[in-house]
Amino acid sequence: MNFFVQVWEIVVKYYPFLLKGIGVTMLIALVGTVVGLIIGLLTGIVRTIPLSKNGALKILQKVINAVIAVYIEIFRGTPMMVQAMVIYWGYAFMNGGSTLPLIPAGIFIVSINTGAYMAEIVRGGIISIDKGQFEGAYSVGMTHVQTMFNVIIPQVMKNILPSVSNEFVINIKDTSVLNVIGIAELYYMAGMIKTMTFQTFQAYTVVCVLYFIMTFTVTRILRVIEKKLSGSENYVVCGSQSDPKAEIRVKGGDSV
Amino acid sequence: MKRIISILTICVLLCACLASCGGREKTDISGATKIADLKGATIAAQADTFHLTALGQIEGITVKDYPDFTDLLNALNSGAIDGYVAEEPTALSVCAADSTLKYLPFVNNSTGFTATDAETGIAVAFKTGSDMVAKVNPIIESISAETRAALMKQIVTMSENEETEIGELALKSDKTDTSNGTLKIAMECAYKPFNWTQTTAANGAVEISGKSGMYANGYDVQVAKYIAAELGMKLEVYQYEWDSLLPAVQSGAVDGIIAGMSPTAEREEEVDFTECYYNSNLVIIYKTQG
Repeated sequence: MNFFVQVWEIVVKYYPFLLKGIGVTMLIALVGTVVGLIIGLLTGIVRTIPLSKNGALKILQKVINAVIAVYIEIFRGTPMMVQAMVIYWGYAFMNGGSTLPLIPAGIFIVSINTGAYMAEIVRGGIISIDKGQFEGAYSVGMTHVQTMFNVIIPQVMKNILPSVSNEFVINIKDTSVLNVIGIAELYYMAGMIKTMTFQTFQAYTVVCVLYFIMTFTVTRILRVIEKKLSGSENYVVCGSQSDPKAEIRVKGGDSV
Repeated sequence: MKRIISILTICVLLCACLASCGGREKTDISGATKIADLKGATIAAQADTFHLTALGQIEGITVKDYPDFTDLLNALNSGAIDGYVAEEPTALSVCAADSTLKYLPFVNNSTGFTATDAETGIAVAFKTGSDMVAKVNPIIESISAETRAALMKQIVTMSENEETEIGELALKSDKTDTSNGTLKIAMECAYKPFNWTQTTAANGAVEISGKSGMYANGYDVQVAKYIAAELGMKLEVYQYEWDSLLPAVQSGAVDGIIAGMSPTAEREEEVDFTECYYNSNLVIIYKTQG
């Protein structure tokens, strides 16, 4: 029982810190995921442009694709904790000791890291779209960008949403590594409470519960959005243009 | 038949696993008066510290190491170790916070570990080649051993409860001029009683730069305040993780480190150290039985 009393005392005494930690964690994870998704979409669109027939353009495209590939491989292939240390202190060494502001630095690190993963997720989403849709769009005279924004990306967004929410949850948890550069997110607060009270296990129990509440809430919210995007379960397909009674009623979404 | 045999095998394996997880044979070290008495016990120390090297001086013990000093405390409370090496001020703070913990008050070079002043002392670090070392050394030398002991006593009392009103501190500069610029000092703010984080400005705590609502206090903070005041500078305290302290001073993000850091030969290659501003005995913290 003593243990739960100590846990409760930590919550009561340090709740301003815990709330601040939750705020910073959610801010970095949310902005990082959104920016990462934008990076992923842009790289996805660029990487799927068909190779140009013009020689110079073709070389430029190949160079850009190579740069994107290097970016993805490096940021996907190294731990975020190491990236944080290298970027934060690398900047300080190059600029004679002026350091990056902490929270923007955290958002930057999470964004480019997530961007590398998102690039692959979006690429997977794009190649899963039927080839006929590209051909159809091109045949009515759409450019690559038009095809992407009007035809492909809306479907891709719906398809990759589960992966994106997965990334979001991972980011909520992974921001904890940013404590190495001193960003005051939730894990950092746990470390601080631990050294103030000498109650390690109790402090981590508190943030363990808090992290779970955060991730669970986020997954539930995203599940609702997913349901919204997949549309109504019951709908009607018009069977004939002349006979309004020729309707195919689809129930439960899977009876086609 | 085969199924029964396999189920039985799994049960036997599980029992074997559980048996191997069983309690460790604990050694009672509460009566030890010199470090040789610890023979047979399992003693831990923080990794990559002199504490761990010093454990080599005791014969017949099992040595363990953990990355963080709070891990040592966890290990002790869970029963994984019989005791761990700590500096005496840390031991005072830890034991004050938990009545089941006590420490063996060994004295360096007599009943305790053999160690030089540099190995158990802590010093201020500046960028290699900095003229600050020459400026700060006389200030540190001017703090007498009595003042250091008296200040540490007050700080330990303070660390038990940050809001306890201590009043006049033993170490206080009467200089109020801050026209010589700012002195940026890095520390962990997580190593009681040398430096810690608190939620109020009680007892002369200094607000941590870039983290509003968080205040640093402790022995290191008071020494930093004194040095800054004597130099006629304004003190700014920055919080960095232990591994970030050296890069912070090398890159110039801060001017110096006052973080309970010992001037080891390896660190001496990266930064310049001043004279030691505190020396502590290495003691062993243990958990009272029952």
